[in-house]
Amino acid sequence: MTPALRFDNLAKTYRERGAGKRALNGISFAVEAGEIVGFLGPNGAGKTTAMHVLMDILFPTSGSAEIIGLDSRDPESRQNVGFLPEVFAFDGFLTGMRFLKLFGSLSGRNLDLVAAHIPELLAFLDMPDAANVRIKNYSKGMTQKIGLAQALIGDPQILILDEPTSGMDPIAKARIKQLFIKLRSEGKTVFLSTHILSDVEDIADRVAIINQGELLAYDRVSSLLAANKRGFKIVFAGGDAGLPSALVGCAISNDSQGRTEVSCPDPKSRDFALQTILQHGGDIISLKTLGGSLQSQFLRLMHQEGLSDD
Amino acid sequence: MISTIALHKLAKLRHSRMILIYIIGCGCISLLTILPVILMGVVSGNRTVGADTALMYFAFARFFGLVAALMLGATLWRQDEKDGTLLTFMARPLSRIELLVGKSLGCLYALLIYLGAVVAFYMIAHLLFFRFSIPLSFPLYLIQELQFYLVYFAAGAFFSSLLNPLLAATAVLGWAFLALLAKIFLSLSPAWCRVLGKGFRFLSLDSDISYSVQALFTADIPTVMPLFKGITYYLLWSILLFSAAVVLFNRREFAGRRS
Ligand SMILES: Nc1ncnc2c1ncn2[C@@H]1O[C@H](COP(=O)(O)OP(=O)(O)OP(=O)(O)O)[C@@H](O)[C@H]1O
Ligand SMILES: [Mg+2]
Repeated sequence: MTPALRFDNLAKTYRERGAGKRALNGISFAVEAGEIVGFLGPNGAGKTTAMHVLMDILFPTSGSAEIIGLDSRDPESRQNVGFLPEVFAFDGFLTGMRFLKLFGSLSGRNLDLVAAHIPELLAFLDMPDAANVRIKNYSKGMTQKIGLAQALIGDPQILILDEPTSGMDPIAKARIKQLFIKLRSEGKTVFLSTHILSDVEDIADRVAIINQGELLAYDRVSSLLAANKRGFKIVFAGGDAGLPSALVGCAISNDSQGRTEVSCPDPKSRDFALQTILQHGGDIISLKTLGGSLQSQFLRLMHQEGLSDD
Repeated sequence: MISTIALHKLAKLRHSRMILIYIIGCGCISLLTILPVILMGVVSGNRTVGADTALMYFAFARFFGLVAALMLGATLWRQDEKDGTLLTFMARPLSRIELLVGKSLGCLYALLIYLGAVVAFYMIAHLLFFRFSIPLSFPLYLIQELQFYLVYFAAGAFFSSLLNPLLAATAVLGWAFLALLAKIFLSLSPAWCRVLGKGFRFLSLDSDISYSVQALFTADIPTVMPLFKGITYYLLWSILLFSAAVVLFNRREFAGRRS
């Protein structure tokens, strides 16, 4: 099947006086239809640049970007796409309703359908009253939400979202996570850049990680996490005097609050340690997978392991 | 799609009050020019006014119209780039050409509204106060007037592909000045001056080719040929400039809006 999005050796150099800035250095990967894909990377990595090439706002220096098999330079490629730019802004004199109608009609969708969809969409975004308020009077989070609504209004198959939840409250963030899962269940593709790794870890099928214009990893979240696991850490309190010596095969250390930390290299020793602690009357406080978070994998790829909290 | 964009552009201009300000400006200044004549007419009881008053009125109307057209051209997409709306538009399945044509159509509507207001002012004055002469070629004159606006609009659009709106507007005014320079050189006797003058006239937006307001209001049966000549001349310039603006826009890359 044709992938929803495809980057083929895409390079982008911003023209500037002198050498020019190489923002993308030949990245290649494809986003399969019906998946949620997180696009991660530190500030200045090139995420926005890549998305702008997809939207034909920037042109590739070499290589190409495709949407459902059509080159990004072809306006037809954007037929079934919703896009939220990184910094969303629009003419402030429009009310939410008029703005969404405008973009509904520009997406080629039936206007009656659009009009029926708007109250529902705004209610979902927790701003039902915003329909008749001018955009210039919106708060920062509301502006971002109406931008997201704009991307959704045409009921597109593919969503390309540049930091969609920035500036939104925790309720909205949680809702939007659910929304993405719902969209995926409808067979739609969500390609989003974000700095909130825990969200991506929860909902994304795959992640692409870039840094300084290079693709460092593109994989299923599960495989990426599995590759980085470095054993387990159990924290417990109490237990009888024989417990420490019974925990063979694990490293033990005591922390200042009278709790004991046990590091186990593999699932087998983890299970053994858990049983032993319980048998000796210990009280298990936490069990953590070391290196098991997207955050720690991300930091490892950026050679910043020291910042990882596990 | 194109008409949706055009109507949005018109709404945006309406909210920026751009066209309204030009209409009011034109109305005020023309009132100031006509007011003394009105008073004189009331005092003397002679309610028929000569061509001079109409001439003055249309000269002011043209001045405001040209400046409006120039500003509309210079900010055609620059304004949208600045306020961040351009990115959102570009993510729609529209070609850049459709986008620019849609926006230009919105500007054309605005200029038509302006021209409509100019004519309406004139007609109201004609019906209520005076018998202005309304020559047969008046509609043709209006077409030429619109064509005049269009060439300034296209020039503004073209120069704004290369320069920021303020400099673009300045460049167009500088260009219009070439016609004056051409006249100076053509009036000098050395052969090279005349060659240079002809060159300048070729490059300039030579208003001599057009049908002047004076000719319109003084001729009994205006000859129509110079009018068509002028319209064709400006039409060619407009098409050339606007096409160049479209090509440059099509090849342009945009930076995202930074918060
Ligand atoms: N208009 C521009 N002109 C020159 N260089 C640019 C321009 N826009 C971006 N860059 C450079 O390109 C690189 C990639 O920028 P980009 O905006 O794609 O990063 P990003 O991954 O989206 O970062 P962030 O997480 O901060 O949004 C950066 O080094 C940036 O300095
Ligand atoms: Mg970015």
